[in-house]
Amino acid sequence: MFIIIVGCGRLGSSLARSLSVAGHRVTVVDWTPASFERLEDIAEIEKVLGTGIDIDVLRGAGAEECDALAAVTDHDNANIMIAQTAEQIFHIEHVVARVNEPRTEDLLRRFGIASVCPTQLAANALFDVLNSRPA
Amino acid sequence: MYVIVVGGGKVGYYLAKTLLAEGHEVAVIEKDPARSRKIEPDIGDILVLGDGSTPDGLERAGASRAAVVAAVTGQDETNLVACQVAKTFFNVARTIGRVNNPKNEALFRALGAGIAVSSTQVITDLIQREVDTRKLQKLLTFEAGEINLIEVDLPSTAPVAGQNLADVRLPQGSLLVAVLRSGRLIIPDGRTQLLGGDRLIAVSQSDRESDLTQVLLGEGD
Repeated sequence: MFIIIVGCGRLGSSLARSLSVAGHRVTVVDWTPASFERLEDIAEIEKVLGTGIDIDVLRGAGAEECDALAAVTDHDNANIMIAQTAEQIFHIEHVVARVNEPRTEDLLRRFGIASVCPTQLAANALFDVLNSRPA
Repeated sequence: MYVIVVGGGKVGYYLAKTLLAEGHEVAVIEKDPARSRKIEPDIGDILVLGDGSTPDGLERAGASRAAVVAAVTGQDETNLVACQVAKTFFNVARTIGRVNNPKNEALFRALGAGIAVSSTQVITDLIQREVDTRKLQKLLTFEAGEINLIEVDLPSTAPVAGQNLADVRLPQGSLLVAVLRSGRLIIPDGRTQLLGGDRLIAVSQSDRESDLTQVLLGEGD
């Protein structure tokens, strides 16, 4: 699959790395050049400099040809806007947005956008660790 | 009219003050406590501390009874989401979003967020108009710029000067609605002769404006 990942921070770069190793074609988009240092060792990953909330930047990253897009910047509203652009303007088949604020997940459901909330996932994992200890 | 302003930065602050002075009921939603404290002495009684791009923040400002939500933070994405939440969750009829990137004007419309206003675009248009030699001015825009009311000063060298309106082939989607001559209003019909020095008022689809200019003034874009 050809996958675009918008946001190349710790989460985005780690996701890009895993998907690339798994054999997918990956392009990352970020507006800070330094963020690409995280993926310096993987030449196969294309790095596009620019903000994901610009339709031409997404187009330049291959939004018209890609099979999937993940919006994983650290700004929830930017991810929502990118995901909507991906779905409604570029008609990308698989789109997922990262949201940091658990309450925002309701909003995304209402807008029909698939989402993953790292905050909630981490809270659940930590809960399981702590809750499994005998009292 | 009840207007909710999302974002208490410079634009939001002055927008709220202007609307208040016009006699409207206004609320300002500001996320940042530090910024809130700054504007509180002045507009504290209409200030709501919260995130105006969330259902919770808009709820606290009473969005369900708002006639207009204007999202004017410095972030295009926040303004987009605020407008969408206002429409989706609270059925606000009119939403206006400020965008920094002029390209996001079209995107706002496409994503159902209402009208977008780009100060970059407004200033660009003004500069464009200043350098424009065609003497074509937009008086009023409708439907987010799709339709415009235009004013054209007709020079005596214009190809249509001296012609009867019936002989002027105006492009489809445009209409000459008034002729101002020596301070008098003429409602034109086919027999009206256009003269140099006339000020013409036309209504036109924006994509027909260059054709209209071509017909009236004989110049390309």
